Amino acid sequence: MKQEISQEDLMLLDQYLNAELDEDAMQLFRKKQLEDPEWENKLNTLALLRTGIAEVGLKEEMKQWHQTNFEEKATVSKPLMAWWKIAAIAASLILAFGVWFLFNPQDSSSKLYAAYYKPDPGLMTLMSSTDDYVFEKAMVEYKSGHYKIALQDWQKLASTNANNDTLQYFIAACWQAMEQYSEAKPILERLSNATDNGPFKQESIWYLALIQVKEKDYENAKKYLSKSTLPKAQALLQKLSK
Amino acid sequence: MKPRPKNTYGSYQSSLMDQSALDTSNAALQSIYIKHFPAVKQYILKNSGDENDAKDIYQEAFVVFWRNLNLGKFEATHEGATGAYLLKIAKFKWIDLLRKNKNNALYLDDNVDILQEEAFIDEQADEYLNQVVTKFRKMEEPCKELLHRFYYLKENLKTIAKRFSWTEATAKNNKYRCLQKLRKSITISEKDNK
Repeated sequence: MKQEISQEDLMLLDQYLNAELDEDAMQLFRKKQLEDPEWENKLNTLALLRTGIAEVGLKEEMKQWHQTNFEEKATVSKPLMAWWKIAAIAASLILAFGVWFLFNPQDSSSKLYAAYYKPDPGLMTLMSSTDDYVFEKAMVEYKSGHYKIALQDWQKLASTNANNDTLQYFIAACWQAMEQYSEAKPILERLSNATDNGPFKQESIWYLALIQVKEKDYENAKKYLSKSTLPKAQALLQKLSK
Repeated sequence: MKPRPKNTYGSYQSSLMDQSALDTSNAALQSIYIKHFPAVKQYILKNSGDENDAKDIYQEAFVVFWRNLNLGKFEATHEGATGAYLLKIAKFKWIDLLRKNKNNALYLDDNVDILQEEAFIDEQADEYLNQVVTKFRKMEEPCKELLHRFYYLKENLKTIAKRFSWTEATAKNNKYRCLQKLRKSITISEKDNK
């Protein structure tokens, strides 16, 4: 029969395995070691559970590490260009950029947006053979920056699953990453205004507020940011309020 | 490397208490992964394998290394210990695979008996871990995401609570509930401490 591990014991065991115990907590740990005949089993069991859980994440990351470091470096060596040609191209590019910048300075709202916007990093993908496979396959595309592909796959899923907030949130994330703000906004507005605290409400508020900043709709941006509990939202709100 | 005790399933405690200072952050693991693949690849290619074989065997070996590291069964006692350990596991797995494939005529310059004595795999713990992995993959959200963030990404409960728009107390309760759910789904019995 499996021995019960109380929440208090779990906290202590986790802290021990994380090497986070202070002196008092270590004394309590030692006391339990002496008094609880099941303590060692509990520790062993938790160590195994932790290892197994983390292993799933590790296996996924290994695929990415390998792809990035050992499979994507197919380079074709080209003969070096003459140095004077390189210099001439560089000079013409600098001139062209300077002219462009003179006539197209990035306005402050775009600068602010660029300073704060990073696409949502996405969810862990386990590629298990469950109903989530299609969702997770699209998530792999999303995390690789293939937003259009991820969007198409998720939109197909959403056609039979329109009320799934996670799906809708990442569809909006794709649109936003592709700079199609008019597509992203209605979705983010709905998720931000939902009465329940869904898993992506705070993120939706954040990204919606950023779009509003980009569109110079500062009043609404401030209104939404003030509803957010995220520290970065408070930082941006302070900036907008100056 | 420490000699492997015969009954390891119930005896991690002393090993866990003497954990090496090997940095197991994700960045450090990635660094270890990248650093040691070339040696394994060279071995596999030299011994009738191809690039895909090298990748598969290396990743299997890395998981064994990871399991043993987490369970206190491997310590990097000197520089080069980690690379040597990974290579040994990879050799063991490759030779084991080739032996199962009897069509391969292979002349090895390794002493297979020595490799086999290392016996990197603790079968009982392995069986339990394999179930944990299988059951965890099938867990529903938000348990899967929550446990992943806490145990792999090593986020604290405060950060996790913000991600899910929970209070910290809710995050703590949910983490406990999810872990209990996972534990109860494992059908292999946990060893009783007698």
